[in-house]
Amino acid sequence: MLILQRRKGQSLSINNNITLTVVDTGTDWVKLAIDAPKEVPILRSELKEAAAENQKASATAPIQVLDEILKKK
Amino acid sequence: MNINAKYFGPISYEEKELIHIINGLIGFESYNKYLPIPFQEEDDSLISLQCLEDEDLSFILMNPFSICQDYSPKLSDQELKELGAESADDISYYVISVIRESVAQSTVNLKAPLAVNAINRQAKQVILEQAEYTFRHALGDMIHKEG
Repeated sequence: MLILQRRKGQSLSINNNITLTVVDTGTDWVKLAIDAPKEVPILRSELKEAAAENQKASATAPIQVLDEILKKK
Repeated sequence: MNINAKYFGPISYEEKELIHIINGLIGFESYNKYLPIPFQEEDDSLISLQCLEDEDLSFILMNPFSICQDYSPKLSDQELKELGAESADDISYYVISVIRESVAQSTVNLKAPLAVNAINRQAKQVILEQAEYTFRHALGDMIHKEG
């Protein structure tokens, strides 16, 4: 993994067609501007993880496990 | 109206029982209309969130406060506005569970709960900023702590 240090206002280029610019920073956050072709999907990582979790949750739940949960309440 | 519910078979429901999920659940953006059906009457601790647009789709929801008493999700002003809520007090929370072959293997997602405005029945799956909540908490630990 490549780790770079950039300051506010500085940018970096990926694959000659994507530019990432640090717009602003705070104590525990950074604001990034991403200039990329429309067809490049950009997703906050937690959205991707949430979607994967929902996908798993859409599977059929075993009835005996649901019964067990109800009994423990 | 009637539906062949995934966990309950044919049941009837009224329009006013439905909830509308703004933008759908994450990864399921094309479905907005859901019917919450409790597994036990008058008890919201375990609910089937039945999709109306796909009868084979249902999520298992839990009342997070029944498994994690100090759960304290915080929504942004923007999220409250989207839900049409005047204050955070209008919002109820449900968490989505992944139920596997045993309770020990099952997990619950405290990071991305479903926030429901009980007044207008608009809902939204939010991702909390709070670092103490994750997408996968072991359900076994939480049920045992309780009891």
